[in-house]
Amino acid sequence: MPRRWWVVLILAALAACAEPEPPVRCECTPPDPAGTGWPLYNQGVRWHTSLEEARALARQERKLVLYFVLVGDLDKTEC
Amino acid sequence: MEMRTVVFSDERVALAVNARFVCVWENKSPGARFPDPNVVRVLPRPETGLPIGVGASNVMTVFATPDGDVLNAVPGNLDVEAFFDEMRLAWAVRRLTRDGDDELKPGASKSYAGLHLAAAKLCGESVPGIAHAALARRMRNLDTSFGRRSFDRMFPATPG
Repeated sequence: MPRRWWVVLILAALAACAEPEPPVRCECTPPDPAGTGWPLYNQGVRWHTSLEEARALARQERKLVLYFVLVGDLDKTEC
Repeated sequence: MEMRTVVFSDERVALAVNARFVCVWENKSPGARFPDPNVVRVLPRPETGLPIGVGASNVMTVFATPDGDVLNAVPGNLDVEAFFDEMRLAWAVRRLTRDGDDELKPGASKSYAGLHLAAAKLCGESVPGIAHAALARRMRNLDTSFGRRSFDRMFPATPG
């Protein structure tokens, strides 16, 4: 067997003995289902995302509607 | 964002709100503005946290009937106590304007200012910091008559 084949075999054997790398583990926090950036979203106050659905449900349950609106460019103020 | 991290994360608020309201939350696209930023009343708040009323151009809490009649609309930041005050005010306005079947009472088309003034009196001293004159002025800015200022007027649907 030519010498270069010996080299290839030795390298292949070394590679086979090498410890396989563990899969990357992602320590993810639970995702924010609504993408709100609101960690306690739906943890206390139960929120809906459709105004029409909220109005229909309020009519059915004889409740009022609380509509909380904010504008996306919150970085422009502290609020 | 104190309304989210403080007010709506408060257990008392959650209990009260879930019992009486169906809540809906919406984030408008950047650049959107509310129709009447002038209605804000900025009250000094000596303790920690943001002053009440700050952020009036990008935060608004609206209390309304399912039919879309706005009972109270509060721009800007609130703390927990101020939130309860405004919620009580909304309920008082409802009590003044609606019967048991949630139909408008006769005479409910009085001026918004008048209704809120009466509601504030009904709430009595439980609504601290809301001077009746200031409240009436705020409501005059909001609208001239009850029922005109519906969701659809305040927040017209945006295409897409």
